[in-house]
Amino acid sequence: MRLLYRVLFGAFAVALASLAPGPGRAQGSAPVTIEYWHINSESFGGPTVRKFVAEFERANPGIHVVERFQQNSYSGLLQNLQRRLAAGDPPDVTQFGDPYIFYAIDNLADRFTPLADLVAKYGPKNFFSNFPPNVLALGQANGKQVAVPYSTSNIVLYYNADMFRAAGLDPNRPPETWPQWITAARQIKTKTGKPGLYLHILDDNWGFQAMFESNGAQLYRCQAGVVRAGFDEPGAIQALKFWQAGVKDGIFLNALYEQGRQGFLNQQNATFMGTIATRGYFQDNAKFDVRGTLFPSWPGHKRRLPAGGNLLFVFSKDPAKQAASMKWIAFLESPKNFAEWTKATGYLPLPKGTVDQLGDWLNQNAIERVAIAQIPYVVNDVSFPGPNGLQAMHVLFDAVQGALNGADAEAALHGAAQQVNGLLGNTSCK
Amino acid sequence: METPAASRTAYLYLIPAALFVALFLVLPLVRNGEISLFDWNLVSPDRRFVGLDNYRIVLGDPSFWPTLIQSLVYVLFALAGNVALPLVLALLTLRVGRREADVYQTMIFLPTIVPVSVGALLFLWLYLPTGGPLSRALATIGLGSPNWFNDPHWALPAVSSVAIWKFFGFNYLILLAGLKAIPQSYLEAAELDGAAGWTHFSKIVFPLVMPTLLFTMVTTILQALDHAFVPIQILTLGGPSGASSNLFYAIYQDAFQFFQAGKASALAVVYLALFATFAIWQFRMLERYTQYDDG
Amino acid sequence: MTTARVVLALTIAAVVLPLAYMLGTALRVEASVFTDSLNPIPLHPTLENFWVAATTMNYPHMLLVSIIFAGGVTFGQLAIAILAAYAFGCRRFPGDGWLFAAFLATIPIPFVVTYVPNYLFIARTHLLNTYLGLILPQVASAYGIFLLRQHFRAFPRSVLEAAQIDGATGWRTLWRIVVPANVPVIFALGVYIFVNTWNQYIWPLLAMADPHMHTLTVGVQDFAAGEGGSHWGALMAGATLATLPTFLVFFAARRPILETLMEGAVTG
Repeated sequence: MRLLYRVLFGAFAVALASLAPGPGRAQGSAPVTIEYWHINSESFGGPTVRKFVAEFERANPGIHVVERFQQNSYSGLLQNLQRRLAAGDPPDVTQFGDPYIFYAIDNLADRFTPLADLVAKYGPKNFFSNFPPNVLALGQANGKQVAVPYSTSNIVLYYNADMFRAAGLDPNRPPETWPQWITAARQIKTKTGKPGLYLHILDDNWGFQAMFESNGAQLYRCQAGVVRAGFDEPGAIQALKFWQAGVKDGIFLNALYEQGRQGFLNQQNATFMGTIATRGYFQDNAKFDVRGTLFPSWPGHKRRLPAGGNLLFVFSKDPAKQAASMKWIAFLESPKNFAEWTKATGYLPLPKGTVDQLGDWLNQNAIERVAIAQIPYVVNDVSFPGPNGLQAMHVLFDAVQGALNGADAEAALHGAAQQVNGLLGNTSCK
Repeated sequence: METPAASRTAYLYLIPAALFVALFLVLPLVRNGEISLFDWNLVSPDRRFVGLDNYRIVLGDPSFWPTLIQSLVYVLFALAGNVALPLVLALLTLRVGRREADVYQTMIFLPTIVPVSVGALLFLWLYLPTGGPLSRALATIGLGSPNWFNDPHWALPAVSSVAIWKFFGFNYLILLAGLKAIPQSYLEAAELDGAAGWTHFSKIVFPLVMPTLLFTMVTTILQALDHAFVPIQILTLGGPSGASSNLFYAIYQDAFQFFQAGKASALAVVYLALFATFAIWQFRMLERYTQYDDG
Repeated sequence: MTTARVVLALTIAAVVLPLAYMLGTALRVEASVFTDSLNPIPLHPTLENFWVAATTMNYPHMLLVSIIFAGGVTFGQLAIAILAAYAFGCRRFPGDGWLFAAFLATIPIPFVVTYVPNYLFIARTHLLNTYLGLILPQVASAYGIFLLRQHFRAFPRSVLEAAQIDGATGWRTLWRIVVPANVPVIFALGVYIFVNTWNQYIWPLLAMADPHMHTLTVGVQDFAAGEGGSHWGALMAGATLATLPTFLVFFAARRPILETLMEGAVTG
């Protein structure tokens, strides 16, 4: 008991000590302070963000950057952003989830400053010419560059080479198309008793979208100037039927993202189709030969892989802060720093010249090459436009889950399309 | 008995509580009622007055009734897991020695103090459909395991079990305390096995422990949806296809996933109307069972 | 007797197993986190994760924030509840029934309704990232009033009347007679509030957006999530550390807690 007291009071004393002001930060000349929001946790990029801040402040003595980690990913960040906007005190620069871009256009248009305007005002003049056109397009809405893509990933297929060998498959020649993968997965199931395939499931439809958009269908289409659901076209129905049949036969694991990821790490499912950003995690933790290959394609179609990740948006209205924000963004998007970012996180090296900076690192992290090879296939990860767009995404998600649990795939998608069209109403497009 | 002056001072004692409740509970509630009449996303400067439209949409939504029923199922599971189970355990604890009982009490209380988000993460692994500890344990006795969190029939019970694991220890302690307050001689008689024991229990022990039991029931019912919230968010997102959602989570989704503050507020008003009626009825019942003698 | 032991032992196993995984994962080197699915405790334990968690989490400060938060809310709720319960339980006044019902009706108000307006309120009053802003909104709860009133009401009226005849003021009667007689239930209520507050996640996350003001439950999540993969080892080590203080307190004080509860906490 006495020992316990000593422990408790000891802890209390330490706690009190930590209240005392630490070594003071140089107060000197810090006329501009900008706040930067990100989703990079301690284990995923957080330390690199801090390093960037320190280097940036050293190079720009007049600017102080306060970095703030936001929990619960982009939806958590957006919720906090909403509240800070409502309180009239938004951050200056923030990462912003790709799928919410229309939400920002429809709801926050008067709050942020389009990046094109900032570049025109504060430079650097050639800023946008640093990016490939399909990458720049990720940050465009209605023909205007409102933001610049930053942390961006695409979906790759990781596979367990050991399980491949155990199933009598050649890990050096992985399948390429969906039909080939299904055949391989059957063989894995027969030989190892474990499901061969796993596709990303979170309520953003990211994985399914990559599957059906690569098969000629689209999330939505513009019909006579009005947005209409496109995910019940034949290509999407075929994709869902493939997935559903796989789940029914036990060759496709039907689980939410984190269970799929832990299952893969523990050799319970032979593949994992998900973000390139989890490459480092797999490399560090897998006790097997983990490899990567291109996301499966459909015969006769070109891959269309929705980008996943964030855009940098600027919310400050004060000119001095805007100028500082632009400097910070240009710093983050420079090939040298972006190469560092790719090394730390696995995000795609977007600015031209970044790949050259990666050098030998790419040889040690070969799976990253897969994602780089897929950059030409990257398309916008958009949600449905209009005020009910986010809810419409959820309707589709529910329908897919229903089908994976045994509902008729075609009917589920048609039903969802009808519901989504109702939610979209007369949302116009061009 | 009391003089008018004395009775008026009674109001003074209510001032602090009234102040806090008015400022941080009633005012937000009023604001919520107001928001429910608008089509609004929480931040946009223009919000459109739509009258009772949000209520019409919310009540007409095909997911409303399933969500309501699932909410009741959550409550029922919570009653089973957080009241009935702790009661049985508490009764059993009375039968073992004091030293042994100490160990049980400490162990059973443990999950209560683990952060709920961490508790939920642990179950993500325990319930892994292939190769997780539970599925392996089931396999050794020849049973297959369903896809717990992604199966429409199993998702809700699976989430519920996480909430029960996290929160049942507190009620166990309360019930144990309630039972121990009963004179030992009554309890010893209850250790008789068979019909005589049951009669004794239902006739004598049960009425004595009733106030405690009702107390745990009321708090459990009030908190059942709240307790399931974080497990839902971490483990199922309310799915598959809404099968593990409840009113609480649906309100949260409307407000913070779909940014439809008006709809969320309308649903919250509906929830409150249902729950306040229910709560007042509960308290009435609780009061009836906790009448006291004046010394 | 034997059946009792078997059932209890099984329950303990079910309760402790997840915690064994928590501790086991915390003690593992990162490469083997969550891999031995049937053996939660690693063969070669290491404290590395605890070191990572303790150094990156600013554990002592988070502990302090958690203690101030849970302690402040407990104190505040008990204070307003004792006063109001005295009025409702020991006094009669016009409208008492209705007022009490009004308080009761606020109990089921869910946090999803209150926390946005409350967030905006503390933002407007510049209380974000302050202890006051964190604590005050959480003090508003009628639950304690309800519970204490049940017990205060059971207090023998004759004693109250005698005190009044002796010239004791209501204030004096409350603190000298009613409260001392109800220590067990007040204590039980306090433990309940403290534990619930300690476990809160969403409100402290909002009110203390500044990472330097995170509570333990919020701070632990910094290791979770993120596209790149959770740092499970550090997360579980952090969770263990976050759990430890309450566990130690409970372990040390479990006799008094239980005995106080047993003095008739709830039955009155």
